[in-house]
Amino acid sequence: MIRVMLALALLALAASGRADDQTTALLEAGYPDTALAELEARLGANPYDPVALNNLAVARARGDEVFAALELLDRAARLAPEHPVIAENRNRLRTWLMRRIERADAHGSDDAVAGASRPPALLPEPPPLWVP
Amino acid sequence: MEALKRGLIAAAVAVGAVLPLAVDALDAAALQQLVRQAQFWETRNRPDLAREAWTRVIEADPDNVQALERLIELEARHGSAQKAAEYEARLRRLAPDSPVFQRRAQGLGAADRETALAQARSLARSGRSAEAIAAWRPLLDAQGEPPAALAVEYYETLAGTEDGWARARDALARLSTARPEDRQAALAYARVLSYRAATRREAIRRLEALGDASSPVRAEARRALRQALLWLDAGLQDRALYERYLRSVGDDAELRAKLDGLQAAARARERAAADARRAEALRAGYEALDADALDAAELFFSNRLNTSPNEADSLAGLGLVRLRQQRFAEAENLLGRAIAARPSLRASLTEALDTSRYWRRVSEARAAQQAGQWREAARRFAAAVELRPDGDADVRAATTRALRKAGDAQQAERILREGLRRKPGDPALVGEYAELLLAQQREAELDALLAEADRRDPSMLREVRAALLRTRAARARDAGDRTAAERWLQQALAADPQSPWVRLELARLYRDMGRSVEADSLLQALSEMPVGESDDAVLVQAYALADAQRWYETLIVLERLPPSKRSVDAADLQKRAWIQYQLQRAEQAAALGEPGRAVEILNAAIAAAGRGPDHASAIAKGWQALGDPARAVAALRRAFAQRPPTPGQSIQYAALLLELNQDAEFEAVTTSLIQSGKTSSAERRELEDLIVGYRIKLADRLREQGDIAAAYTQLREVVQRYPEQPRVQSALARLFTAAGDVDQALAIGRALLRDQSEDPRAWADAIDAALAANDRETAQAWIEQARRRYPEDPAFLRAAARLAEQQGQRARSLRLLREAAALEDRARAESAAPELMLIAADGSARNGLPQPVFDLLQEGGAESVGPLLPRAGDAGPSAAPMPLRVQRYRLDGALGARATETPARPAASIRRPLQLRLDHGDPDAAARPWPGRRAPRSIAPTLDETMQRLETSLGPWGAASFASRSRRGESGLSRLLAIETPFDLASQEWELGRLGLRVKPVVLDAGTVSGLRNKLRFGTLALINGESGDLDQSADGIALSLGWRIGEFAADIGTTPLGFDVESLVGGLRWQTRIGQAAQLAFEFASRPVTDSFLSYAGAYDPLTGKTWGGVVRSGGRLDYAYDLDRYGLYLNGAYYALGGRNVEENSVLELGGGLFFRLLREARHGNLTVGVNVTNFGYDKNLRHFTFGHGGYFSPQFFTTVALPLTWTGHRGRLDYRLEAAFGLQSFREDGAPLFPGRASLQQELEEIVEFEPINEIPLGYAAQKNSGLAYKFGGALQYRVNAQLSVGGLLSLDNARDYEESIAQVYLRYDFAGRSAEPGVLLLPELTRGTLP
Repeated sequence: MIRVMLALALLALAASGRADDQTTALLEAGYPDTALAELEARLGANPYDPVALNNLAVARARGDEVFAALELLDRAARLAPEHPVIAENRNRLRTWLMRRIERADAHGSDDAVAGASRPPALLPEPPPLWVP
Repeated sequence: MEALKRGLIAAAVAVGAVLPLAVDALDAAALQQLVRQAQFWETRNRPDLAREAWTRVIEADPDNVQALERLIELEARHGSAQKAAEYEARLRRLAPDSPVFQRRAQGLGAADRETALAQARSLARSGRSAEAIAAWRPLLDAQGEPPAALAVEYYETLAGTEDGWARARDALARLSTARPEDRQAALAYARVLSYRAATRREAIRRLEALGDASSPVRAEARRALRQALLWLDAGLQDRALYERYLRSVGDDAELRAKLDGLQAAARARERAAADARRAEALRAGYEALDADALDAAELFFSNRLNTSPNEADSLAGLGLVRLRQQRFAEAENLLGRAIAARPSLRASLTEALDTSRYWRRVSEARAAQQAGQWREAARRFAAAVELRPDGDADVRAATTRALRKAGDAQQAERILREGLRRKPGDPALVGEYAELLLAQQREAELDALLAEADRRDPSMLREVRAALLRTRAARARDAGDRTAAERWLQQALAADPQSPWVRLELARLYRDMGRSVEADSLLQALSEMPVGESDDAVLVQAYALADAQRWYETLIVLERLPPSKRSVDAADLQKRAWIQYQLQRAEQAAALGEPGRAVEILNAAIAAAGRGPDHASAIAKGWQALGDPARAVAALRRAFAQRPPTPGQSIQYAALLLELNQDAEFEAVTTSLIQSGKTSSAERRELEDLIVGYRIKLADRLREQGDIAAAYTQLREVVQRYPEQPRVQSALARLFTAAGDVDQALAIGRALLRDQSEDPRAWADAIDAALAANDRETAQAWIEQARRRYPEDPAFLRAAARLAEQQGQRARSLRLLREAAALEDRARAESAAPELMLIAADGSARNGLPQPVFDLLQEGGAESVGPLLPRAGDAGPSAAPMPLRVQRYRLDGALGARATETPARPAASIRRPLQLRLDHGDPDAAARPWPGRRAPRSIAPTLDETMQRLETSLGPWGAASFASRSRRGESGLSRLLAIETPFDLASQEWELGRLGLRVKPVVLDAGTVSGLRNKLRFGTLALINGESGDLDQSADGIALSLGWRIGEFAADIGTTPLGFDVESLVGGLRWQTRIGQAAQLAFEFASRPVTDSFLSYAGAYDPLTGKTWGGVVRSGGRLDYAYDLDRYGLYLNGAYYALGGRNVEENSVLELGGGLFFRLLREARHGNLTVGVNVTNFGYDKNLRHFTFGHGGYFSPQFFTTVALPLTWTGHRGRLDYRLEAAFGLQSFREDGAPLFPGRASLQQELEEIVEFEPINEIPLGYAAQKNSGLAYKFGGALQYRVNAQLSVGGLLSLDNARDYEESIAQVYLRYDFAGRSAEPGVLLLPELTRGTLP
């Protein structure tokens, strides 16, 4: 019985590995839509798969959906905090986003009042919405 | 009457006086009367009454013996042995001999006993138990006990008497115990027990036992049992007794009825008890309701309903609670259910039910009103009014308000009029009517109404009056009449000083008018109002804070509103402020380095905003702030799909489209907006502002494509409308720069920077103009300032690089460009999404494909399916496999020609001015559409292209050349064949310049001096009449030179070929620069060999004197000036040189020249055709062109002029570059005569002496002057083939012909560029033979 279970587990693992390769190959070959569909289907089957989350984030980032990618990487990092690739990807994207926002901010602050200082910490939580 | 009173009083006094005397007589008579009564009753056989009468006798006369005797017998008969004994004791004391004692001692006889027994039984049967017992008395013994055989009968009779039951019960109990087999005793005992309620159930139990089938007394027992059951005060617990009896005896109507009654009574009793219990139980709930303790009452009734969901009282109770809680719908439902559960409650609950129904409709209407569903609100209000037509006037007013808001003003007015008919002058209805008139702008009627209201109550329509004034103010403001708006609002404030809305609007107006202090003052007064005094005041404070975009404070102020006072407007404002505040927080989180948190907060705001169009603008701004305009556009598009955008939203959308370069849609949106005419003046300004930006963008694009005219068309209108806008000026400056109107561009640039503009684009444009105008000093200053201001902006590094290149400092330029490239790389890395790593199946990182491959895949678009075919088919338009390079910049800063410069080719010396300009290597290619090509590339050179150009131009190179120059002339004298094979090596160009080395082997052959004529004109042979052998005139040597070039300066030093008879040190300094955009200037101070002839170049040996002479070097300065207007230009030059050589007379020359040129054809395909006219003049001080000692052997007329028409055709085809030249002209010169030995007076004198001595000889004394005019022409051509990026080969042929002058040149060369720089098409890399490696 144990042997049968082990064989089934290995088979599932192999199938999963093939899925990874397939989706990454699709992505690299320039079929982002197909890759996205594959990855999303895979996440639908197992929403706690950090590798699928990471690869979906890569696909999203290539489609310039960087914020969606960051959310996915955040989730992936929560699920696999020790995974070096996920950590590196997240760090890259966060750093890049920060710079981009700084630039947008600098661009947008041209008309802002000169010398307007930014509060040092995040603004307090607002009161709840009356009509959610 | 008074007499009657006195009579009665007298009678009473008389009675009182005789009373004591009559007592004794009265007692005796009364006693006798009592004795007679007693005897009477005894005769009537009523011993009870007889005993009572005798007892009264004893009481009146205790010693009455007769009475005692009768009482002893009567008591004994009665069974009261004790009393009888007492009376006996008293009688013995008074009359011990009374016969009573004897009679009692003797007892009765047998007959008497039977008689007595029969009497007793008869009496008993007739129910006269007491008399029966009295009859029994003679049968009793002295102790009053009956005989044993009659004991049961006696006691059973005794039990029937009032006082004898207990004695009888006890006696029978004893008897039945003592005689257990005596069933009669047992039956009697049971029967006796049945007489009393307390013992009746015991009796029934005993009788049931006695009534069984085997009992001898069964029938009597059953009868007694039946009687006992009938007597029994039965309860439900006794039901079994009856059922048992009916079962055992059979049906009995009476007992059956009793059993049924028993059950019904039991049920009734149970019901009554339950009702009482329920009433008791509900009492607490209703008491709580009466005491207004609604929570307790609610809890109470709810708990009851949990166990009894349909209990009518609890339903009613909870319904009343809900009514008091103003939860009308629930109240209505509960009360209805209560009535349904118990219809008898209808009467008491009808009023409550109606009230609930009315207020339920009102509250539903108000909810719809709060939700802005005006039509629904109107419908429900109307339903409420229908329920109570004379009800609350406010509800009627609310109905009309809702109708009005729903757009049904006519119906609203009808209802209002109906209401006012019912309640004339009702303030709510009048106010609403005024509002209606106000909304319909029926101001005349409204004024009349206000006047009427003023007459009644000046304060009644205060708010309406203020609203009317506010409306007029709004109208004035919309019309742009702020003064009128201010006046109206001030009147409104006076009419209703408490209205916060008036204050808000006035403050807003003041703020629009720039009167912030007054605005703040108004709002300050508002904030000082006590909290809670007015909900409107709170709301207005919130609006004011929202106006100032102080969102958090807005939210905090709004929290002061209690939930019941939160109107639709307040809730809308709260949501708006909440979303805006979250956007603010998201932006801040992003700035604090928490983009994830920023997105989270933004998503919360998006969730709050929903997918509706209300807050799409805010959300779009949020995404824009996070640097994601694409999502911003998506948010707006989604919103627009649901609701047509407002003009403000469309403008925001257009701005985003502009940012995203969605030009077609931008044009469509803005055009539609303009055509709609629905924009306010502020929105029109905003829209036009965007359009100005778009026009500038279009103009820039067209300008970059080279279509200056179209660019100007786009910009002209913008300039006319907004001439003061710096960005418009900046765009115009760019256009002027591109069009070559650099002075105008520079003027704009100076104006832009006069106020130290904060716009880097203005700085860039101004610097560009300065660079284009070649105002290097200004450009330098501006670049330095701009770099200080914007150290991270690569544009200014590029500008500095351009300036350096203009100054010839190409290495420095390259360094600056590299710095710019690094900055741009960083910016690019920051702008493009970072390349993230995929995770492969084995869990390892898997980097993506190289970007170019990825790009190519992306470019394909359509997915490739099926097997790969050996040859690609015609799949229609497809992407270019390689980047299309259709344009290339060429920076042509060299003033001097690379090719040999001769007077006959003046145009070649003049190049186009130094400026950045497109060189359309293949202009057709730019216009030719490439199938499937993406967006056209910017035609401005990329940084990489510029750097690549500079890098290659800075690389080292080497060249080898073979040049043959042949001059026709007299052998040994003016004839010349010069073979020069320079080998050049140029170093890389550093910031300190470039070094060049030339080694040039030279072979000269002028033939031999032969023949007397030639010999007489060579050296000093004339002194010996030319008697000499032929003299070979050939020489060889190697010239060396070292050059250095930095920027616009060049220097070289070297030698004439070492090995010649005369060797000289030569070299020069050269500086060439541009003045302004079109002018170029060059200065040169140089010392160069004169290579006209063998003598002038190499020097010759004079066999007579043994001296060498010749080797002339020309030293002096030259100035060149050119002014190039692109299609044509002019040039001027002037030079002065001193000429000298070994044993050659000193000389000098002044040259002046000039010309015009016209570029007739400038097409890449056919090449460039330039024609011109050239005038050259020079004049030497002395004529030293001959070959005798002292002469230099170079052409040195005293006046020379030539007018030529040069024509040059240059171009390239593929790798082949070519140039064809031709010039036709007239030339004229004049030579002075010259002595045979100029500057050699002794030789000349000796010669003259010889001639004088031998005059027949042909020995000339000198050379005659001459004038000469004639045609001249020149043909030439050069060809160059670029073998590869490094190697170029080429050649030159040239024939120059004039009268008495013919020179032909043939030259071939190889050029190798170590940096892989292939010559740019059309540029010939022909080595310059005179000036060295770095001319």
